[in-house]
Amino acid sequence: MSGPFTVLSGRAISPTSAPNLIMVEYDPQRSARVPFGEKIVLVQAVARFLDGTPLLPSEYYGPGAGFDWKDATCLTGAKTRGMSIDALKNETHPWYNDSYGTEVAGDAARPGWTVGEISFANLNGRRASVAVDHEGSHNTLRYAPVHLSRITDQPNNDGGVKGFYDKTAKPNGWKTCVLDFQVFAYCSKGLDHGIWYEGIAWRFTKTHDDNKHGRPGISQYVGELTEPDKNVLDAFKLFNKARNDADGFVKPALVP
Amino acid sequence: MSGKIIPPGYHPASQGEWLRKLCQDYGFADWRTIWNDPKNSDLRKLRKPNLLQAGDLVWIPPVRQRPVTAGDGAKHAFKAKGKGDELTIVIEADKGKPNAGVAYAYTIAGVARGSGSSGGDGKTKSPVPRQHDPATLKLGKVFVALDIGHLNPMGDDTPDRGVSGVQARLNNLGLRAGREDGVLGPRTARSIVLFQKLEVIAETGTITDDLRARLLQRHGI
Repeated sequence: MSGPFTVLSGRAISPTSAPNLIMVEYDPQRSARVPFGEKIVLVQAVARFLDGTPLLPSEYYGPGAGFDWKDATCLTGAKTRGMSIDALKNETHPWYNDSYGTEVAGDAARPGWTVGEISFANLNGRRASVAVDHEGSHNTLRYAPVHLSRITDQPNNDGGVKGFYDKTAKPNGWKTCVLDFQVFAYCSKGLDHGIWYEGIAWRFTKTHDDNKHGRPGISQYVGELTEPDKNVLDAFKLFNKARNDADGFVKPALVP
Repeated sequence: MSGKIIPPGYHPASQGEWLRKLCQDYGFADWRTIWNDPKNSDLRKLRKPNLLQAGDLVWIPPVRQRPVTAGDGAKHAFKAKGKGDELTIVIEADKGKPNAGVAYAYTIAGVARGSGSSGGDGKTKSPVPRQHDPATLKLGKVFVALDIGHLNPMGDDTPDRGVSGVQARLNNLGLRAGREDGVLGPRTARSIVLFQKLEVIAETGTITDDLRARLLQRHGI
């Protein structure tokens, strides 16, 4: 992994971490996109496949199980059914907040997002043109800490209303549940507001055999992504539409 | 004992040259001897002695070399007159806020120079020897290569109409103007807009007198 993301899962996080735990961290200093952003948040899209079939949340959990609200934010295409921005019921913004960001410890007002504010620290190893003093003149160099954005996730899956396959108890249950996630850095404040930066894909897999033996499934890094595809953007727009366009606009393309 | 007189003439400034450096190169004790020569009156109107533009013509008045007698097989120390150059860099944490207490260390031409912690005003200082390449500044864990004397003026009278000077200052302020190539491309324009936004002035994306004045104020030169 050479881009701005670091992805760790399972025991790579700690010796006692469960295999379904994953941590995704974005470092704007390692970005090739050079963000002009004051805040860079992480947006996570998720698609659920049961034995290869995409499902809406209400179809998976069953009507009235508490996830019907999520259907309004899901795509409904044949291959994209159920794909949505990963958010909780009462969240008004599409970014994936949690309390693990390195912005300001304990700052509830700014949880979990990266301040990708351009900083002299970004210029590590670069050159600076300066002039010697004359009559009290000086040069000014920016050197401020850059904070990382970090999310953690730990999918927990019991097979929904249909349950996992069991030869005797649930012969029609699911054999395999796959959750495909895409995480993208997104500028939510600053000159780049509305611009997407880099992303990564990761996957959660749980089989009926895992379920039978009490294993939680496994979360794994899949690969780097250069930009969100149409499906992710459509899910993003749909989420924003459902939440009164909290952050729905898209600005012109990134400056090369 | 009369020494050889180096004839006067115009010196075309190169990138990375400034007055005191020329003064040392040509053997003058005081840079003002060059700077205040009447033939440099036009130059004085456009430039600062520490901020020449490559291609500027600097009139070098005649100078008499002073021969000295020194015996073989012994070391002889010669001390140049006048105060040497200094480099002051203010470390800024955020717009206008000094970053105090940052550990810093200058290495110039392979020799450790100024070091310590930035003061309450964010200032760091180092003497600048005549031989000043390469130069680095270590800030905390960050290394920055310094091109001493390479900061260009921002004037409209420069060959690139001040673009490279603006780019360098924006970069120093962390605003990512891109390569200091004198071309006002999209990245530089975006960086200018960001600076104008931060300064709450008209967001033109172009170099204006107001932009130059604010950059001068914020960058310090």
